[in-house]
Amino acid sequence: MLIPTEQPAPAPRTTAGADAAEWAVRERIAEVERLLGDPADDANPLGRRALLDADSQGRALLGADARGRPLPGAAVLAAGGIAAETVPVPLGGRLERTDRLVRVARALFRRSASLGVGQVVGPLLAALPVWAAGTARQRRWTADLLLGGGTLAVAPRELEHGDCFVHGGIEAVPGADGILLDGRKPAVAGAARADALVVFARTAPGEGARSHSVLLTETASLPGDRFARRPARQGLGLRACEVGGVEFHACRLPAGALLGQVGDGDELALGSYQFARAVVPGMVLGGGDTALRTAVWHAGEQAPGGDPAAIPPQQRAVLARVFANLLVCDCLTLVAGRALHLLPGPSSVAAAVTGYVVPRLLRDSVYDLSAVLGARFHCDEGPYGVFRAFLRDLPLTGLGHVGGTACQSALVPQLPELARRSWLRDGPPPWELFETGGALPPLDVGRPALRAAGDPLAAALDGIGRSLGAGGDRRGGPQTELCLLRELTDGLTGELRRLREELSELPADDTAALADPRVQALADRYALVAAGAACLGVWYRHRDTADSFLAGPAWLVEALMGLSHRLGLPLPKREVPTAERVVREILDRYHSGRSYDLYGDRPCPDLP
Amino acid sequence: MVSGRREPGAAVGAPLRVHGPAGPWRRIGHALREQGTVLVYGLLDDWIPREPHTAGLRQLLGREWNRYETMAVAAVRDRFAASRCLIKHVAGYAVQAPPHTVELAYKPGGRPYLRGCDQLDISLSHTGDLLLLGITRRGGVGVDAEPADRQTLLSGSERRFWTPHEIEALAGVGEADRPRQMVRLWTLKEAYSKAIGQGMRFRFNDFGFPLDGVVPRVLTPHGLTGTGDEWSFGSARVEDKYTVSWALHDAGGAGGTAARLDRGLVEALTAVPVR
Repeated sequence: MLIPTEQPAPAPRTTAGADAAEWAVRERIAEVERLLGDPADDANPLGRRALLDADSQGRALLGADARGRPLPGAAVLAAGGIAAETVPVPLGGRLERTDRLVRVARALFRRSASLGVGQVVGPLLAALPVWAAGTARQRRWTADLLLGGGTLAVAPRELEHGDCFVHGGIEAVPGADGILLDGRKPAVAGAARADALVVFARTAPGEGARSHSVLLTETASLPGDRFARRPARQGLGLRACEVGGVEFHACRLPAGALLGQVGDGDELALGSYQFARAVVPGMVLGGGDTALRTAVWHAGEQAPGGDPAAIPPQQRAVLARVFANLLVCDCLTLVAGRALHLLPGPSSVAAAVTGYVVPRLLRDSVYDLSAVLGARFHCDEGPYGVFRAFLRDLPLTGLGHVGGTACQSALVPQLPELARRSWLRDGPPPWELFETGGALPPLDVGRPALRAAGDPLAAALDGIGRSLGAGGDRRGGPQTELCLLRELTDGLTGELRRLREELSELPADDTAALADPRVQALADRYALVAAGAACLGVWYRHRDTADSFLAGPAWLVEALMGLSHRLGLPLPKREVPTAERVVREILDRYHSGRSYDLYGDRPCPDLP
Repeated sequence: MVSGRREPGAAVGAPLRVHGPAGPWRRIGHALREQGTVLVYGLLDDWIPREPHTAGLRQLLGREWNRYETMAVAAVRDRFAASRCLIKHVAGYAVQAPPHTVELAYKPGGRPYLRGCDQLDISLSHTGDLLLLGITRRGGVGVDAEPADRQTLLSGSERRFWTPHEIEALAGVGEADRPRQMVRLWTLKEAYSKAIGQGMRFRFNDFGFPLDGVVPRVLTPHGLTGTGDEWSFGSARVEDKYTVSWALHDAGGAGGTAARLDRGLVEALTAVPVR
């Protein structure tokens, strides 16, 4: 299907209601910033010094105190109602839109990943199965707990791969007089002080879709000789976050502790993984913002005359590449989050791609900044210390829910069917998917569709490719840049076509065939193509917005160049100084304290 | 066989030689299982394909075949083919799949990786007739190899490769021992900067390492500790003529198997109907 010459103009981008929603998000972020206070103030319990001290004490103290240490300033955040961000609006909380959740949590991740994980990611992942499958009473009880300042932690389903958070398993035997729990999880975020636990436990042997069940229990109700919290082994990251082990020894829970039915655990796990992949990577990008800001600040200080305009060319190239990568990441998180509202059916693919691409791209980008920071890359003081702590924390921020193998396991089984039925066949997606704001239909928090029948990202690439084609759309930038964009888009479309040929040959749902490294390499390629499609979609949607950086193609050219390079595609010559335009935007946002994401809107705390 | 010794604190065993596609593989598998990381090396003669224009080599090189074919210098072409054979055989062994099914890709800075095999990280170095490969499922790895008798200067333009702390430390070493210390420091620097994906972009006078005898770790230009427990480093002498070093980043994800997809997740997902 052709777009956009034959396609109706995009719907009006904002309505009065959407403006009000955006205003409310910005207000809330400003409120959270006020709660977090001045990062440079050493007396601030949520300042840089306090958080770095907690990180280094975490290294020293872990293993010493099974009760765990309270996060510095946790009481301040509890009083500010941060936990309400994870509670759905109908239950009295503030969880209504994925973009709001992501952007508010981003403010915490800008300060410290431990803060973001401890205050939002941990409670959210614990609460998701309750919102999805809990009875009205369980939902009410959990909401009241979180809204009243209580804490909830999750012992997730064990995975073959992943970090400490998915190691260890718990077994449950349902009987006439309740459910008997046995087993241990060595690392549970927030376990040490949790008032309640959500436990994924095995209730049937083997793999398969009905092998696990989920239980919700109040820790105070558990007999002391049957339940124990253990000190966690010294962690390599998230050291300012409470992490502890939990152990159950023939511990009997009432039948009413079950969330949903016996055997629902696998589908509930997949659902919360999927939700986590759609929102957590976007939250963590806040740390990437701070990392880039730190590098710009440092480069400016070191430049002749302390003038950021005099930052040397090699460093400018690194900064441009990193900002372009942050925007790629944010385009993906935007689409993954909005898909949960707009296209819950096909949302699993965008979520898996986001969970697969964003952590790696973010990690590579932060490491790339080492070339700008030089010797200060190894400094633990002030903003450099925050940068270093983020780098340590980054691999653990998904609490095992977000990660290469887990995301591939969600993506790979879906690709053959999408290749056969959807790619280069489907009509254009709803372009609201790529909008940085605007109205959204309500969110079904708990139970996203786990397998997709369509692929809006591939459809966007196809549609935009056609519109950029000969005699096509002339909007969205000068002709030379549009030519460059056309070449890059053609490259991605060609790659999608090759992927379709190779993947559509594969049998669907044949686990052995899917576990071939060749198929995983194809999935990696697809994820990079889909990331490019997300960027194209965001540009396409905003290309008529006056005075918008997103409307110009400079960032998009840089973003697609990077992705095409990773795909090993031939790169067009850069005939226009797109990287320099990106650097100008970086410096402009630095001076005006605006965020390094798609919104570029909020005042960020100054570096010294 | 390997000669030389491991340094204190090294979390990785000494490099193991693989003589060709036939192995030996048992020790490689054992090291990967037990330590999550293994260093493997091969000698060029063992790994240069005897018949360079076969369908088998074409299949093994996959998308890199065209690059191989257009290499004009025979020695460069041979080394390219040999290193790819080594990487793909080791990686294939690590994921229990045929070597040609593993795809080698490159990040924008040039760092190679196994496309789609997110659970494994690799690093390659070659010098003389040595091919050195590091492979880990603990996080990230960087390796470097240099001829042990490589002459490196502490003065002139080469002074820019050393931190003030290293220059001072090296000045205190006897003339006889200094070249050995310098080659070791150099390979540690290369290994670390490769592990963080930077190569020579991270200026070598912005970070350093201590002389041997203490647990190696990154030091700031003035000798303060620069990396924490998540990093470990080591050096060894190989074939009595090469100095090799490695840098290992433990991302906290150690454990698990070398399996490629999570069976439980895949089976649970494939049992769910498409909506």
